[in-house]
Amino acid sequence: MTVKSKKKKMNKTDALFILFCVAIPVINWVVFYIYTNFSSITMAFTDNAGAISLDNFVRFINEFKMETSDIRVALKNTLLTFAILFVTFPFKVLVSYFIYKKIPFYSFYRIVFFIPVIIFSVAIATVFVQMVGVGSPIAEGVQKLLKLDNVPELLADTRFANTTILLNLIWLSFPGELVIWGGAFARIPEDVLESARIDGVTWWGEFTKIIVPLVWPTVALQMVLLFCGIFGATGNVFLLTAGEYGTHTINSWMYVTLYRNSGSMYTSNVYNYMSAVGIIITVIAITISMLIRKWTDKVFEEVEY
Amino acid sequence: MRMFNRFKRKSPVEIALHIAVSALFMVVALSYLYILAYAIISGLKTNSEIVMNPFALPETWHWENYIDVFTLLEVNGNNFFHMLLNSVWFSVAGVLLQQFFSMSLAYCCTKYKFPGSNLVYPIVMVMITLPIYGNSGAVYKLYYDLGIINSYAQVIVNAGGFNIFFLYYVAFFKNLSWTYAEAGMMDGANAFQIYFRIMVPQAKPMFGALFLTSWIQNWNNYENALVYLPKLPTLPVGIYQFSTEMIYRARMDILFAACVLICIPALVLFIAFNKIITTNVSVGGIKG
Repeated sequence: MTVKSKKKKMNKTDALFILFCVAIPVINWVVFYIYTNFSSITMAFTDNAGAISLDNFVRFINEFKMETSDIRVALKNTLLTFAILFVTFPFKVLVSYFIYKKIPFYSFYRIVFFIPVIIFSVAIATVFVQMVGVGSPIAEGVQKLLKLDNVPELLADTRFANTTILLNLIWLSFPGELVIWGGAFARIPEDVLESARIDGVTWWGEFTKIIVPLVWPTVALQMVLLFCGIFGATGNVFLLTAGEYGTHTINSWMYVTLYRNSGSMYTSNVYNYMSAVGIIITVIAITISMLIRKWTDKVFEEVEY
Repeated sequence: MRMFNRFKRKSPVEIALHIAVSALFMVVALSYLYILAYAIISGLKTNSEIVMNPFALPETWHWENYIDVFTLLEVNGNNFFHMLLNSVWFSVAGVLLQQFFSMSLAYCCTKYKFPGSNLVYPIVMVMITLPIYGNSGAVYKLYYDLGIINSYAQVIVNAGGFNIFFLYYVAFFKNLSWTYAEAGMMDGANAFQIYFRIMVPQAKPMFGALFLTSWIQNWNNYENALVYLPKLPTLPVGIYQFSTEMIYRARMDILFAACVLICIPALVLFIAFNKIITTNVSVGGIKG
């Protein structure tokens, strides 16, 4: 049917209609995507005085060499966060799997597990700050466990802040992408699983040998997206510590830089520097994603939308 | 088959496993509900109770806090109702524009052939899988030069279609029968009439599901608004600013009450439309 419609002769109204549908999105894309990215590249090669230079890249290399620089700490924390997302990825698939298998109270979980996405993040962060605050059982528990003299300020102490943010991330991202996996599992024909049952396949066999292969295109696409977003990996750094106490990730560093310098964007060089850092990590991310795509070669052809 | 499947016997190992997993899930689920309960109850305490006894129940329940929010949540001369207006404008108008243009672009690229119609899909795919980092400074400069920082006109940024929603709509229109449109054409309907009278009504459930999903994200979003709309604070920005300004620290009760109020619309809509959101959006393996 699509073919037919494409073959039909186009009249004036059709042309007008196409213009109506396409013009604004294309203008929007050119202005807010193409132009801004092009502008970001030119900014990266611009110094404080507005001249073309490599200053920003030199600054990045110098700061990267310093162990305590924001950017070095941010890169380290970003990779650590990514490692956690990578390791927990299969567990998140299992969460959706068990809900799909209708374990006891599954319909309750299917709603409550959306709370971290639905609830305003400032509200969650505010409650979490109280939950790990000095008067909380959690902070006192840490004191006892590590035999500390004082109750630790878990979010305001370089020894604990990063771990606390990562645990917050693990806790809140526990359910994973319920909609995506729920949708993928729902498309599995039930008689496939039924006949496997009759053949005496165990649940683990069913999961690893039938379900995972059947949803493999989704797995592969999710892995590609995970790896491509490697430098965006972050916990809720901005709300919990604003990047203090050695907790910055690339994502939070860029956001805080953007937020704090918006008043002085034409007088300071900091946005140009941010663009340069952006280019460097974008190039690395593209390289990684090319390699990953080789690994999951046909994923884009196999996924049916 | 489905009935049979539901009542089929599970092995004892599997039953034990399901119960163990469910117990773990229950702990996590209760911890999420705890966040909600904590915020609601803290909103009913006095500030000193929250500071002194953060985990105790209030001595008297201060229901008036939830009324006082409307007058006391004030940041930089914007009161609750200003913020509500800003929130509604940017979340509703912004998402309507975003969904309408994503849907129209997807429809046009799927059903019509014109120069470039085959290019949009791969471009969007690349945009989604290859994030470009560090361009937010350039975005800020552009907004500034266009004069849309702190402006209601900033919603125009949403009037695009090169986004993840485009992929969902493409999937939808690809599977949508063209028969009705052909019947319409026989009756002399033009392209606009076919789109608005025949196609858009059929796309309503999809549009609704994606609108709600995107609306909830936008309603809660403080990151963009905090940077690009600091003087037209939306409720999330207002609450964030309220929480950071030390002078207001003395009203944690109001902060929690405001947090609870802002969660209500999204929670209610999610619970009411839970099925629609989670079934319509799960078309493909793409990240929502």
